[in-house]
Amino acid sequence: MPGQNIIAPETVSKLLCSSFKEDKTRSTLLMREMLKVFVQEAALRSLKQAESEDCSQIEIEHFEKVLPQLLLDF
Amino acid sequence: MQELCIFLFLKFHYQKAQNKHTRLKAAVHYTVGRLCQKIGEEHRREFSRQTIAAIAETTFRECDIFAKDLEAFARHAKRSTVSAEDVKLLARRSSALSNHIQNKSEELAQEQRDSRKKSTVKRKSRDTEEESRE
Repeated sequence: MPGQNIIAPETVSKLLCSSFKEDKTRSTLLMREMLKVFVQEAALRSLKQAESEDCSQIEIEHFEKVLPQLLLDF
Repeated sequence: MQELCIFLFLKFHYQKAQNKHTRLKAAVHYTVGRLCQKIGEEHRREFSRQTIAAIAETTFRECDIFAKDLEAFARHAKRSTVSAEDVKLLARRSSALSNHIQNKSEELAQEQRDSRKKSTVKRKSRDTEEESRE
């Protein structure tokens, strides 16, 4: 009876992952850009709101005011 | 005894998952903090800690929604892998955002084409060097 070679499933998945040529696929890089733009929009819109109210510091109320439109745009 | 083992096993994995969750949240909070600090400096204003925390929390939750959408798009196209097209679809609600992501996608595609060309050129020159040595 020949010896059975049973490769653990984890080894198989590791082997598959190591054969991927690109470490960072285009879709993950694009997602990174999406999230970066989201954070920048949130910050800049809150900042513009604070500026329009003549506030020196950006408070949570400013973010709350811009949040609805931000979520609609994304 | 068996129930106890099963209970401990589940508790261990649940805590592991929770720790990963907390660490991810902390990573998002850190990056959001840095981005807000940079934007604040550029406009000579400061973000309150509460605001940064709120933006971080919103980003984290939005990312969850994005992930679910991407999964649904890929499944709808009968694929098991999320593609760049799925991400572009995610940006459809605002034309400015959609254009920005489209441009970024083309930029990345061009970079990938250039890097592949470079590696084939390197290989070819190495091959001709070896040939001339023989």
